[in-house]
Amino acid sequence: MKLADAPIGAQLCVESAPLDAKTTLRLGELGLRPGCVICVLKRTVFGGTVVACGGQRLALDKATAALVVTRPLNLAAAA
Amino acid sequence: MGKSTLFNLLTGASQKTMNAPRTTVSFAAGHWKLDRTTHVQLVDLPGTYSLIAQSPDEAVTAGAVSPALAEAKAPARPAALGPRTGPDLAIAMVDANAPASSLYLLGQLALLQVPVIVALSMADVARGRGIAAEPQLLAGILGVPVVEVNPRRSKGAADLAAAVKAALEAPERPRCTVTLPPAPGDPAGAGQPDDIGHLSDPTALLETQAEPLFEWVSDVIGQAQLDRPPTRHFSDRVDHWLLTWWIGLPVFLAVLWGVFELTTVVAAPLQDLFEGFVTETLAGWLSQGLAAIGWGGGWLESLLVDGVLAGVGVVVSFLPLMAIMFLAIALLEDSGYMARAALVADRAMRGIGLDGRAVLPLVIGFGCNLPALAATKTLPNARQRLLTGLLVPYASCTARLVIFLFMASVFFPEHAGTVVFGMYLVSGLLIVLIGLALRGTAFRGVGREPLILVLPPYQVPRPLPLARSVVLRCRDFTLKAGQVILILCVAIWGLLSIPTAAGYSIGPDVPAEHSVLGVAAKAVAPVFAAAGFDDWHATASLMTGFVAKEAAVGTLATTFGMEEPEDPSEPGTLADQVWAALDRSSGGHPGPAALAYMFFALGYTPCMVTVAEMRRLFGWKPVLRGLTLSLVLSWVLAVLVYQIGALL
Repeated sequence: MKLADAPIGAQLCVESAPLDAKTTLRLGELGLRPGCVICVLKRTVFGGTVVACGGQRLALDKATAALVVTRPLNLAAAA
Repeated sequence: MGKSTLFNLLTGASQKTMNAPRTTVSFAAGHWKLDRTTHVQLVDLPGTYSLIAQSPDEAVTAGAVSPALAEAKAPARPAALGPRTGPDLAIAMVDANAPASSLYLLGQLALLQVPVIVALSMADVARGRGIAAEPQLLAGILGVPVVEVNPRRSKGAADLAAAVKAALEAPERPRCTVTLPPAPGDPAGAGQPDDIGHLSDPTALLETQAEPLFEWVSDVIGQAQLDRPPTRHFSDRVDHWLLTWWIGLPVFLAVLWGVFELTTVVAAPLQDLFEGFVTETLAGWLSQGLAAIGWGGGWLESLLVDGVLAGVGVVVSFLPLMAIMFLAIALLEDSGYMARAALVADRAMRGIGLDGRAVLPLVIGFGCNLPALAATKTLPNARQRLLTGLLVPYASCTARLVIFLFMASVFFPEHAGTVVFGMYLVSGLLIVLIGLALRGTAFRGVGREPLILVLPPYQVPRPLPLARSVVLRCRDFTLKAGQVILILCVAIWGLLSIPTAAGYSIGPDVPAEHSVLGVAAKAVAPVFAAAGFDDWHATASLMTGFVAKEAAVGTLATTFGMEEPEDPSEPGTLADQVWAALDRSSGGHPGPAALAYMFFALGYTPCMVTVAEMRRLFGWKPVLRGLTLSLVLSWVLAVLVYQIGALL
């Protein structure tokens, strides 16, 4: 599931982020890397996504969130 | 996380800001008294999440902490750290509440063998959320001292000083299970202290070790019991509302409006008060003092009162405005709202290659360009700051409104309001078009990066750190921009007060026509023949408009030997003189010539105070390039407007 499509409240495991190398590295440096568990907190103005990643809150624009591939962990709870 | 707040707490007033060589990246350095006998130099580097630099700011930080990285990627190494040596000790701030990214940076420091001490912040907040956040436990895992600090509450400074003193005597490097690969022909590897000189491209090596470092960070977080499942907090509940379009956008616009009002309506009476004190009260005392010792009434009094004190008056009058702006910025940043503003405005600003935060300086620029430049500090990237700083002068400030009102009332009395409104539209259009043009040329690539933003938790701003930050920034403005303003004021005094004809003495009584300014204006005026206003009165007004835009109308009055109208929209008999002058210079097309004059006045140069501040923030080179561009562009626009207008 693309991060941009995940429902609010969903807990997800990041599977991959096939962006350009520079962006993928920066996401990893900020804690958003394959295997980590994130929680979708908010869809923002113009379609961005805010996620909880560790204790950190990361906001990604729509295009970036659309390229992060995730696996749902608790979709039922989120729905 | 409070890095700069901690720096302000530790160094107090003994700090100064400077730009890294050949960059517009600024950093601060100051003296820190560890105890009565030990002083060290402390440098507040631009914040970063990684030593693999992706912006000029990050490159300066990477180069400062490791000479190897400075040679590879960041030639602009701050001289404060010496040419080829790394720091004696790096203080790495780790946010106990969100430790992953700071521990990753710590791991990179370990790979590069940089001696480190850890300042653990937000530990109280983390403990409140059920996270262990124990400095001793973390110190045992990392192998370096860990000191808990809370700079917002001025706590931890003494402990940090003691730990730093001890660490300087016996520096320790973080214990990290990841090491750099061995050098060619070196089976022992590079994982030994002081053995990184062989690295031909340490940045590339750091990139290869990123994945192992991520694993190490996860291990450390687990061992130090700093992990926890994602849960919602107060900030998330606020963001739930503030990041929706129907609340977020109105709140964002309200914040912009509030800052704009603060820097215009609230600041104006304070500016008048401060300027009045210097140019009237203080000037009166000075004149009386000079008269008492027999030096009154001559060129010395004129120089001191009309040159030096006028310059001091300009600096002092802008101080309350700058203090208000610095306070507003500090409040927005400290509260955590600035990152949200960037998110809300990002889509709109990205169109011209700017970060969402650029909307703040550009909007404030329509009130006054000077505080708008201060607001560029909120942008995280040096190239973004410079690009925004170069666009700010095209925002038509209220001082330019005086010129527009006067000219529109003289030449288009039936449509004055429409003409003035049109000038504001032109100003906005220029910002967009020049932004696009610069993004496609000198600033290629700026603004194309995806938006990845860390949202800090909301916090109630603390008065003491805020006050400290405002005072330090005001001091910096006064000392650095003030010098340039003073020099320019004295130079302008010389232009107005030195006669070029016999029969006059140096002083305020020199007629404008026979002053250096008058002669210079007559020499420059032909440049504007193609724009229809090659009249020396108009040229002289543009020249003094560099001092302050509102001075342009006063100069027109002075050069025509008349009183300046109190209300620029009621020009009185001065209107006839100006009309006749432009009618003469344009060969019967005064309307197009007046429009051309207004277009030129809109963009040719910001006032000298703004130029001085631009120079302080970005250095002379980019500022002179920007001014050259604006002069040429304004001239071309003025010529086009006049030539097309004369044909219609």
